[in-house]
Amino acid sequence: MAAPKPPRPTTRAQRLRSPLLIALWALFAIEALTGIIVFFARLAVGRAPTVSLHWYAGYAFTLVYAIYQIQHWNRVQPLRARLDHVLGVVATSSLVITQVSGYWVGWEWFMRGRPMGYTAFPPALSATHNVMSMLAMTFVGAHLGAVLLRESRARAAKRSDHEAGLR
Amino acid sequence: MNIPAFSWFSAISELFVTAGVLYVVLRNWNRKPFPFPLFLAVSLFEALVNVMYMANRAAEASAGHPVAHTIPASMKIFFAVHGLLSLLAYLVFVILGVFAYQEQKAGRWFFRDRPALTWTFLIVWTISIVTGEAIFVMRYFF
Repeated sequence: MAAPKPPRPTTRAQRLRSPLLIALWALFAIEALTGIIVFFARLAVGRAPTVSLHWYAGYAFTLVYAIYQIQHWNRVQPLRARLDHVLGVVATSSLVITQVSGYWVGWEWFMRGRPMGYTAFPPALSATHNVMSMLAMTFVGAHLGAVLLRESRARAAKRSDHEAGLR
Repeated sequence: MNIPAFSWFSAISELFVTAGVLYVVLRNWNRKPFPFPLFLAVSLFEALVNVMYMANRAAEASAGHPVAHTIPASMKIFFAVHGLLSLLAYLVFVILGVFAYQEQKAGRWFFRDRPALTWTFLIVWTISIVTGEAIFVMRYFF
């Protein structure tokens, strides 16, 4: 007999602890950190020391992100004229453009046989990837911050109503 | 020296963006309604025009491009530090702006209530802008 499936997370706290989201955050952190190292090192010392890790972790990130985004959209749809939704759309668009431009940059690197010292990515493409990743980091943070702040305010208001009812 | 038109545009518009950032913070500090359209316009303009321009120049100055050989190593390190500082300043501005907008709906004044955070952000932003303008001057006037 097959083991019963674990229940899908329902509350925010459960969703924040789900393995899928933890994997996504871990990959996002690796991508952000290695991306910043590549940006700095290419410019300052003419090397791209973590580019291989950035490239291979990017594959995994795309896969995990696609699954997460489909689940997330199924849960939050339809799109509403609300701050967290607007920020979410900007974050999603930035993430998609970052990944598309990243694969394009990666393709250039891959086609040259993945040389360790190769850093001459096309400037416009490299700039687009860098700026979009900056927007992605910013708006993912703003989206999450907006959602958590709204919920913490709602919880505080509920607690205050409850306490007023007890008096 | 021949200065590209877009370098002038970016150097000057950066000052207008800074004026916009100060205006957003100042209105909140003075307990006036949050100018969300201005905040959004400043945020997107800064990213898609000024930072895009900076990233493009940074990519050209990186190893493997002909321009890279004409720039001293110390200047490249300065470029890279400025790039990271700009990223940090921009990220903090957008996130704090979103918080300020939300807090204002609940009758709270985010920047006014957190003077240490507000001043730290303004100092980081100012350093980021001053280093950007310094790079422009050093690159084209010295």
